[in-house]
Amino acid sequence: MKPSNNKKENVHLGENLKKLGKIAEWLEAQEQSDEPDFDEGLAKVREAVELIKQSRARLTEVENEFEEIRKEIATSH
Amino acid sequence: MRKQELLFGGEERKAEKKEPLEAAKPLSVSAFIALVNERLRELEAQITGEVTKASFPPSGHVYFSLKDEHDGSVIDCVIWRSPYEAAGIKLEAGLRIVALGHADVYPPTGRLAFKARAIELTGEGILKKRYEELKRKLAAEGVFDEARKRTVPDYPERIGIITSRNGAVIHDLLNNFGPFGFKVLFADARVEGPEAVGSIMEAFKLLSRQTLDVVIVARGGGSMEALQAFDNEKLVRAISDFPVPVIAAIGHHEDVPLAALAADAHPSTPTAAAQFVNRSWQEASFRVAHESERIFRIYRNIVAGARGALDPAAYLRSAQRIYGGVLSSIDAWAVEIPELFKRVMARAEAKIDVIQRVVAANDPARNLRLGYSIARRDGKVLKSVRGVRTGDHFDLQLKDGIIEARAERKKQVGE
Repeated sequence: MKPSNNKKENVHLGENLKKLGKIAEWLEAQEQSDEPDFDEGLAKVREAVELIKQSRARLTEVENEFEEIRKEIATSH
Repeated sequence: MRKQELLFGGEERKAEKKEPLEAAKPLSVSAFIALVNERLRELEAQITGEVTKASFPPSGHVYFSLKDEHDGSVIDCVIWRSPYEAAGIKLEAGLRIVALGHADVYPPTGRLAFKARAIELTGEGILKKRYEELKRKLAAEGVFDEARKRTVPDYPERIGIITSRNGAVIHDLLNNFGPFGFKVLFADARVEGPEAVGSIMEAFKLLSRQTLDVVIVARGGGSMEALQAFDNEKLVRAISDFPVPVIAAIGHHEDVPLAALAADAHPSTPTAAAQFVNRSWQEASFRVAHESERIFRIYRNIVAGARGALDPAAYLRSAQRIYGGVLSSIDAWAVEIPELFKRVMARAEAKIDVIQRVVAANDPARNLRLGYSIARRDGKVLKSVRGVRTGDHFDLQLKDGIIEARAERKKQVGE
C-alpha cells in the first residue's frame, strides 16, 4: 500500500500536544523569572500558534475511508 | 405422475430434462466416478452426528465415522491434517460434531466418504468443559496476562476490521466511528459455524500484510456454541501474537470468549469498540483548547508582569510585537479556531488598550521632568544597588541629558 499524500495524516497530534505542553512549561518558568525573555517568548508563542493551527485543522471533521481487503486469487494464463 | 409433475414443475421440468445416460456412449467406471464426484462437490453441506470411531494415521489426516443419533445411519468421513489442527478438537468416540464439506467417491475402492473441510463441536456441556480446560492451559502460559497486553495507540488512523459483511456489526462499527479521517481496512470473515476459525485466521493473515494501528475483531452476541470459534486455541494465540494491538468486541453471556481475554482490549459491544477508538481523538479537541488557553494566559501574565518596568515604552513595543504577531498569525485562520481561543485573543487585544493607558500615565519623559532619573549600567536599567560594585561606572539619565557616574560607596536601604 502506497503512503498517503493526505497532508492531514502528516500532522502528529500526539507530538503537537507534547510540544504545546513543553511551551506552556517554558512560559511558566519565565513567568517565575525576574527577567523573562520576551523575544524567545514571542517565538514560542508563534510556534504554539502554528501547532494549534495544525492540530485544529487535523481535528476538523474528515470523512472516513473504507476499503475491503480480499484474498488475492492466483491466476494463470 | 401428476404428483411428480407438481413436485418438479410439470412441463417446464420436462423441457429441462437431460438426455438419459443410457442413450449416450457408455462411460468407463473411472469417468463415471469422476462425473459423480463432480456433482457431489456441488452438494456442500453441514452434517451433524456422533463420532463412532476415529483413526489417526501418521499422515496427520483423520478418518472417522459419524452416526445419526435418530436412526443409526452412518457415513465415513475424512478431514485433512491442516483443517483438523485448525479446529483445535481431538476427535474421539462419543463427541457430537458438525462437519462442513461434501461427499466423495474414492476411485480405488468405490467407497463414499464425507470430506470435511471444517468441524466444530455441538453441545454446551462439552464446549464448557473444553473452554475451562483451554482457559486454564493458556492462563498458565500467561497468554491472558495484563503485562503482555499492548496499549492501543492514541490517535489511531489505520484501523483493520474483521467481521462478517452480512451482519449488523460492521454497520454498528462504521456508524459509530467519529469523523476523524480513519482509513478502515475491512476483511470479511465467517464468525459462526465450522468455517469460522479458518475464515477469521485468513482475515488476520490478510490484515497482517497491511500497515495498521489497531485491529478490531467483532461479532454480536450468541451462545457458547455459536461463539465457539472465539474459544479456538489457534485463534486465541493468533490474537495474542498479532503485530499490532487487537480489540475484541465479541458479545457474550457469561463466559468471556478466550479470544477476548487474549486481546489487548475487549469492550462488550461493537459500538463500545468504535467509541474506544474515538476516545483519544475526542480528548485531543479538549487538550488543544486547554493548551491554547494555558499558553496565552501565561504569556499575558508575563507581559502584564512587566508593567512595573522603568521603561514602559519598551514594554509597550514588546507587548504590541507579541500580541500583534499572534493576532496577525491568527487572522489567516480565525475561522478555524475554537471559541475559547477567540475569547483569549479578544482579551489580549483588550490588554493592549490597557497597556497604552498605563504607558500614557507612566511616560518616562514625564517622570524625568518631575526630577526622577534612570540609572543604567552597560545599557541595562539598574533596579538595585546590588547591580553595581564599588568603582563601577554607570549612566544616570536626567530630563535633559546623561551623567557618566562612578559608584564610590554603596549603602542599602530597606527592600
